[in-house]
Amino acid sequence: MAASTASGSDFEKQRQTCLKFIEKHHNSTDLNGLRDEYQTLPGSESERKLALDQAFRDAVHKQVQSGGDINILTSLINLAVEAVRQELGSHSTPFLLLQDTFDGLELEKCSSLFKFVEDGVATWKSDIFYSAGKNYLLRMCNDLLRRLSKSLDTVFCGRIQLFLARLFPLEEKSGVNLTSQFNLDNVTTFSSSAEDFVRKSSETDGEKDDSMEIEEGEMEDTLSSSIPIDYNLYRRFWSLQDNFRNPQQCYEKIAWKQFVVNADEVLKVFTSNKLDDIKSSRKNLEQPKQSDTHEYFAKYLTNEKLLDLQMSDGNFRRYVLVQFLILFQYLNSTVKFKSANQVLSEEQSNWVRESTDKVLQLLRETPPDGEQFAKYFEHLLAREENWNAWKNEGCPSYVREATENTAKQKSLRVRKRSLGEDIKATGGKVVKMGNDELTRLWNIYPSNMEACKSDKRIFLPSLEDFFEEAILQADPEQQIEEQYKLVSQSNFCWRSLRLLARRSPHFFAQTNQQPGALKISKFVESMVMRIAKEMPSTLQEEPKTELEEEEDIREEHQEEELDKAEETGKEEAVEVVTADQVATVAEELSQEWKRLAVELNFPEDDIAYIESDNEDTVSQALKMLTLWMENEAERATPGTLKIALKEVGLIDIANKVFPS
Amino acid sequence: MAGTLQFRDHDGAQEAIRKQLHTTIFSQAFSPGGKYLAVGTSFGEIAVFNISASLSRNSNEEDMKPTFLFKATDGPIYCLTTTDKFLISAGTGDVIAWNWVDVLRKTPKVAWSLPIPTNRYGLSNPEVNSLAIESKDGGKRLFAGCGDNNTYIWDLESGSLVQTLAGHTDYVHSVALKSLSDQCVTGSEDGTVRLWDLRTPQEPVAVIEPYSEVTCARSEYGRWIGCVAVDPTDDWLVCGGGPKLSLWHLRTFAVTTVFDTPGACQQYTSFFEDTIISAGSEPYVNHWYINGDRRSRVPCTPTSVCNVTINSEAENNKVLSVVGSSAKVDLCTNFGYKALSLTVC
Repeated sequence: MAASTASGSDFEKQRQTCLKFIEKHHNSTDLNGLRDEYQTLPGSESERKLALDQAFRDAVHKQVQSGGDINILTSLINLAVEAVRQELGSHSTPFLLLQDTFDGLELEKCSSLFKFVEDGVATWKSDIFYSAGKNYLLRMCNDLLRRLSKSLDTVFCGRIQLFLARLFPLEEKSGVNLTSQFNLDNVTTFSSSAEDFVRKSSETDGEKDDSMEIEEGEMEDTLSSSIPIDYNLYRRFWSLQDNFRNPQQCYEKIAWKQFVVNADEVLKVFTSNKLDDIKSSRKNLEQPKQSDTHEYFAKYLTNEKLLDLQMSDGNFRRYVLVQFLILFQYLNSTVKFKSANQVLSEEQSNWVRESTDKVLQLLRETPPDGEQFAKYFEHLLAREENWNAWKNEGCPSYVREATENTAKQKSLRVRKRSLGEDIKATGGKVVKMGNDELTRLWNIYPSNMEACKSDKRIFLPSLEDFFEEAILQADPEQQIEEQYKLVSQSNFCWRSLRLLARRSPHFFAQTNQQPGALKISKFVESMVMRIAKEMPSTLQEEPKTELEEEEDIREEHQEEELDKAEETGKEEAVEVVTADQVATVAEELSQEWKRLAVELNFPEDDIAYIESDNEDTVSQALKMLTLWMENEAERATPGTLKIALKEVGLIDIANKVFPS
Repeated sequence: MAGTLQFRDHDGAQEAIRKQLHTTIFSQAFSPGGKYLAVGTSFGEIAVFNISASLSRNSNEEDMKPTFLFKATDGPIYCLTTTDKFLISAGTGDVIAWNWVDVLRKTPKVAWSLPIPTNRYGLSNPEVNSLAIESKDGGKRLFAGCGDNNTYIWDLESGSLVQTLAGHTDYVHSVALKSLSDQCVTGSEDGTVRLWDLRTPQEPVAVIEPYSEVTCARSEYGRWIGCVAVDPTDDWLVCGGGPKLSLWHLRTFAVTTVFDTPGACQQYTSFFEDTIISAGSEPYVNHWYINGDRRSRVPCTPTSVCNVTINSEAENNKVLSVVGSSAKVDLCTNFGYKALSLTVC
């Protein structure tokens, strides 16, 4: 005892110093200063911890007493959290601080401080804090809930509930109604008390007597209610709520009978009293936003004067119909905590089935968007079955442990490749598309982009080529009559316009003429002239005299002859592979022809095509070589073939067929 | 002795049941102030119900029965209407007025009666099918559509027959008054709806023939017009019967909307707020939108409905009451469903 008092004074001292530190540092976010000073404290580790914890509580206490500035409080608690992370304080400190604060503050401030708690869910859920703090938090929340008014502070209550839902896992025992008990406190009261009746009846008796004075009787009546009330329905309707509150009653014989009578009556009224579908849809057309405002009431108002309004309120009807469906589902489902005698008889379950259909039909008819709502709700009920099953199994954890077995299966599973990858992987090699023709088509070009860029795909003629003739004709010296000119053919005009649009900047140049004023042929002609001007001077030669022309002609003639001679000379000089040579090469090649084909730049699909088109390898090789000769024409020399053969390592054949 | 007594009792009970089965309620009227409902049966009886009691919180079996029932005439009572002082009944025989105060005191006395004029042979004894009261400029006029094809108009101050609207070739089913002008509309078994101007009662202003209109004609049910009603703006007329219920524009005399009730002929129709209420040879009361869409179809007890009346006298007893081929009177508090049934006997 003496020792403890001695250390007590030490502790007091330490506590004071810690408090000073905290007050000094509570504004800074980093903890280094506090830690450094903490290290200087005397005493053992646990003593220091205790002192710091206590100091934190003192600091918070001070703040709460001095009015409770939320910002300072949150920074203090943040500091405590940081301290725990750095192993300076004990794990429960931040929670104790929170609890102290909430206990000490008025509700309004609690609400704003709770924002801090909400934001910290991730922190509270982290490993360091969760096990130490969950009970503190739960207690703190429950305390708060107890302080709050259920009807006034609905938003704050909801926030607390949401926070708890976020904090705790689904299967947390404190949040699950394990034994499937009903909230029997939720009693819906409605006026059916006997005294009320007596008072009223005496009143009406009195009226009966002096009923001669009609006007007076009326006056009295208006005092009781301003609209007629169907008390019969009123009683039946609200007594249903008792069955919804405590479905167990339905397993009792008398209560069940009463319930069936009431339910039938109410459903009949709902069926008869159709709601204004057309009207509401009309309204919605004008005010499409109106349906967005959803109202929700936690409790029914049971004043008899409201019954008439409630009967024609779609939302209200929906609530009640949904209650019916929930009850019916409960009655039919197997719940672990139902006793053995709580089973529906054949007759009862038939009634439930029929009524369920009726209610669903009514839900569909209830505007707005009844069809959709009914569909959603059916889906919801189907999901409810799963929750029920989960509860029946005793609420197992929802986090599934990854077993080794599944891990193995994963690794064994072959990665499925997509077709695109397949094509890329072959790197331009033949891709089998499962059908010869498809394979051929697919492999015409390995890359689609390049295929599109290829010269073969340029279909636009050049301006010069296209207009050559027209330019010539446009020359007045040619003396071609207007009607025989190309420009007067509408077909030509149309094509030239299209070409001009694609190729010529003049097409879009502004003309001072009104659009459409010019005849197309004239326009094209003018364009032709312009293009002619731009073209290199080849056609803009000086007009020649007839003599010169003759000379020209003669010259040209000579040139032509010369050319011819040259060409023939060339032909003689260049040696082309002969058919015989090709045949022998083909015979020698047989199996190897494909390699040669690749060397000769045959695309993959051509090879595949050749392969599929000819039966034996020799004819395939022959076909390939013939094609090669056709493609290459004069370049198909024995030399090139020899080189190609050498490249693929068939030097023997090369030497054999083309002995040098 | 005891045996005969028992037998007699048994006989009485039998008779009551039989009477109940055979009772048809043709007509009804709410009292001034709206606290009571009087209904007229096929047995010539008038039954008075205290609606306030029936609608009250602690109503019991007794409140569903008439507070008072009396024999008014020998023949059936086809129509009932009310002024602020008198309950007026008609059917076979004279038009009879009862003082409401006397009726409620359970001492009914004939206050006055109006004989239906006989034809020149003095042989006819026409029934009254429809009554309507017009109160304008202090004076009151009573309109009666009768079985002798005529509509008679009396001045209630003097009790004298003022006018006779003759022209229908078959008996008059229904009379409706225009509220703004001095005109009335009659619907008849001959299939025509005639619009009369009371300044020129010799011949109708216009004759509408729904049976010759393709959109509403139903030759299988005949031509007859069982009900007519005019809306408060005097622009629209609704009529039905053998032909389908149809809405007519009174300036152009053109059909604008047809309300189809397959298999049923409408015997009663009226405008209520922005809807049209109609009922007929099926156990339903129809509520329509003016555009022809059915707002609702409310099931009721009588298999054939003769009359539907809304108690507009008192807001606290504002109910819709349905009578027809049954001894029960259906009351709808919310017009969408039947709240309770009163029993005549």
